[in-house]
Amino acid sequence: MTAARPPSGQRGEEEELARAWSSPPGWRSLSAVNHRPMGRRFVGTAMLFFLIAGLLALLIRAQLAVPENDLIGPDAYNQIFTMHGTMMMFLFAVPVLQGAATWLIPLMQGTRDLPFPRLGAFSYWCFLFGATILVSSLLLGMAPDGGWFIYPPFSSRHYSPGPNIDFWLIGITFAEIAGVAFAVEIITAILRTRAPGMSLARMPLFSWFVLATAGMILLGFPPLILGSILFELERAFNWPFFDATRGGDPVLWQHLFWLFGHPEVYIIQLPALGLLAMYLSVHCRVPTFGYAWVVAAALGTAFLSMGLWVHHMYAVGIPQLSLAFFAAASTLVAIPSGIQVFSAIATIGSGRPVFRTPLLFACGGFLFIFTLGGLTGVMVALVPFNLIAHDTQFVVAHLHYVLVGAAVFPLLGALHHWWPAAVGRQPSERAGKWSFWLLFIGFNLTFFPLHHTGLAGMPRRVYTYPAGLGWEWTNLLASIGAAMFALGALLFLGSLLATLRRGAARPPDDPWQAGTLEWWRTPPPVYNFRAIPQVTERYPLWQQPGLAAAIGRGEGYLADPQGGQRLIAITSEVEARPEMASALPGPTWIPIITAACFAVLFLGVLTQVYPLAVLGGIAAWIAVVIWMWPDPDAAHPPTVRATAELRLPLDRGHHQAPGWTALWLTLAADAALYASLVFAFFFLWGYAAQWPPAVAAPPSLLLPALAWAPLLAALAAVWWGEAAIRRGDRGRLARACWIAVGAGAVFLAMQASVAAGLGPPERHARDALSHFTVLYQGFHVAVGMTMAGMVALRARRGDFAPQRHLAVRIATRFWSYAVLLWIVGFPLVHLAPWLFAR
Amino acid sequence: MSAALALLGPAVLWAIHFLAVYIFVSLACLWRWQDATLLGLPLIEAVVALLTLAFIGAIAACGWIWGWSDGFRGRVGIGMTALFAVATAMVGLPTLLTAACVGLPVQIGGG
Repeated sequence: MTAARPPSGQRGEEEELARAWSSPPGWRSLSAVNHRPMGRRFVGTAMLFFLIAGLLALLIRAQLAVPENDLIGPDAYNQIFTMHGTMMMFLFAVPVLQGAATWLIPLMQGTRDLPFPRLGAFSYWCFLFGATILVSSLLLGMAPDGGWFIYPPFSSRHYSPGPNIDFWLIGITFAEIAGVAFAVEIITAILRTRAPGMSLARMPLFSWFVLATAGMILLGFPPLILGSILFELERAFNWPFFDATRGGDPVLWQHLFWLFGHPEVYIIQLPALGLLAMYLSVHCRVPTFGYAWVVAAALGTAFLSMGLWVHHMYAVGIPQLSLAFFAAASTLVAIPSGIQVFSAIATIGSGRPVFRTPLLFACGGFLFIFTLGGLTGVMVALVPFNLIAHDTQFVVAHLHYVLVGAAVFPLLGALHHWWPAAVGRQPSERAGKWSFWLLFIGFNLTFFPLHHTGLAGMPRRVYTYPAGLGWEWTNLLASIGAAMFALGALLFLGSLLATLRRGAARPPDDPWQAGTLEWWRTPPPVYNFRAIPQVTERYPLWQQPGLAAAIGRGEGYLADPQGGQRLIAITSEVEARPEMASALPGPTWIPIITAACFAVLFLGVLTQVYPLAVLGGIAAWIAVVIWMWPDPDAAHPPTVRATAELRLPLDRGHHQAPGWTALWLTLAADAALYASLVFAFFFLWGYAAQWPPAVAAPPSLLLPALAWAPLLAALAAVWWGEAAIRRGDRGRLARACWIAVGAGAVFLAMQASVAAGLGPPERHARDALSHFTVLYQGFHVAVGMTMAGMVALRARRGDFAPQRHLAVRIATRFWSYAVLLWIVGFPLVHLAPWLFAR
Repeated sequence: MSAALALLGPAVLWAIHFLAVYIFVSLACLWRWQDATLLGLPLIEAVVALLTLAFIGAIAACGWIWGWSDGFRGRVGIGMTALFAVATAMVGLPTLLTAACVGLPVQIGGG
């Protein structure tokens, strides 16, 4: 298929496009949902937290500069290092890369926005509200103080009675929800909204790295979300998941935390390396060396990283053979990491490098600092060495070399590189180079000596140390280096912000002579592309001469907004063939309102004002229903004009619409959470000391068995409804859905009765897990009932047709999933006395 | 679907093998099977070795199937096959080199 010139009236089309894609000014801009404001907000907010966390780091280094320093007391010090780590990991490193992906992916992939703009906005507001809850604890003097992993029992209510740990659990859970929402949206975007012709083999490397990362978020964040919910239930309601005296085990928390925590390292690292791969090739003026191998390395790293979590737990007391498995997997990560390093070296070696600021950050930051971090990484992956270096300053040095080398330096290079596209101003090369050298020397001065300090025996997380142990000079050097690093960071960010002043230099189009689509015009217009281009090469601006001009003339797809619609093309996953078009929503307050309702729920839990939490939960449910309630199907045309010769169906209600992809991704994240819950049952059964609980007689199975009847009836009803709409029978669809709602209500009532017969959740971890599993099942049935009710109401007003009933398909699959959950959950809860006997 | 299999098949097989071996050894140690034998061979080591060989064979089959594909898909498929065949061998190897159940937490069976 070839792209054709759109019809006449191009000037008018361009103005109409600009009107369609613009966001309201002033305070009403908070209702904007476009990917570029969202990306900017993510990056800007994350950089603000970077500065605050950096300030905390300076306080740490000031305290440790000399022995027996009394600048900061132990309690404040505990809060400071905990918040430094927590903010850097959760509020800076992940969100800044989410922001970069949100801003860049649609531009690189030749489209106008992400497929679910409201979800992107919701993700940002969840992140902001969660982060605000967490950071407010600093101002209140109640910041978390148990380290960034808040291990129980140290962080349990008994030993930490204040709200410090609750701030961590609530704030992080909220921010993690933002991460999962981002993952669902960005995977769908990468798979379904690439420009026509941009097959997987032509996809920018950054898209590959973000795809791998988002997959890891989808599977890696849910264990921590589950762990945080369980931990908060233990602290708030005394459900003993991690209490060794009542069938729990604190090591369960470590597993759940590190199931997230180790992939987190690569979740931070991979997108930054994707950015680096992109701008490295630009400043070396050649395509990335070994594209296919780098893709394999990114995917390989993503998978391997999910099998490493125990390497943070070597000192816990794990069987020797298990340690060997994880040591093997840990050292294996060196292979894909090495491929990425050698690809970068080969790209520089085979190209004609221009040593501008971004390339300095790539060479100094990634190649030098990350490689050193990788080498010490192989050292700490080996059990015998790890046991020696465990919890010493050596590990502090190692983790900073990895994270700063693989994420911060590449990211700063990326900020310099994409600044002209983001704000339309050219950053200063002189300031960029000066700041690089300050950062590079400052970083190495800070952290290189800490390898020695650690091997000389200085532990982590101590607020001071005595003189005479040989730790003085290395600590003093580290503190001087930290000050230099801070100076470099301020100069770097200050010089970028200075370009925003009036009269600063404006860049020409494509100032670095890059090859990917985001540079077709600098800065790109508010609608990204005048027309969605047909892509035939991996570096379109290098390999398709005249493409930028053709886009400017409106040659491509969907040049005409056709009545001011926000149109994007939906393409097939592998070959990117145009399949349909999507009309995206414009500015709306619903994402921020929904996130605010969730914030009320979380604040109610934090302050233990539970009626407020219930109110927030109900408000959030109403907000979600309003969000999901669409215009009538009849208000939208079935097709739109893509080119002069081609019409594409609108994705609304289409069976293969992006919403279908998003459903499966959401269920994958949900299944990861549920798998973590199942793991918790089996782990405690295998390893908890007080197990099984001393119970006189197991409860009756009669009522739980009978509760299957309404659940299966609801499932049968929704499938019957889907069969009806395939024949065009809306009335029968509505009736079937109301039957499902009714059967679901009966199931919930029976479950409430069954739960009352289970042991009290405070008694034993098995009882607590059983109650949680029943609640989780109830939540899914309630969601299924909401879906079925909405489908029934929409059917009554005339929505849905035999070929267009995506909402019905989603409801039936969701109900099927809910039944599957209970097939696993039922034996865990009701057959536990037999299943989990020892 | 075929693209997903080519790109992710070896990695998924590695993940399944990793989980299977880890869970099997954990349960075997929990149930104190360290002295059990299968056809005269130590049970735990024999099962892990068999699983490892079977999965390496399956991963190699993936490479055989997808390595013939043209261009990008073939190269990534070969890369993933090589990486995860080595990874599977690395995970299976320790069982043959070290005693299976040494260092088990002492509290098992308590309560």
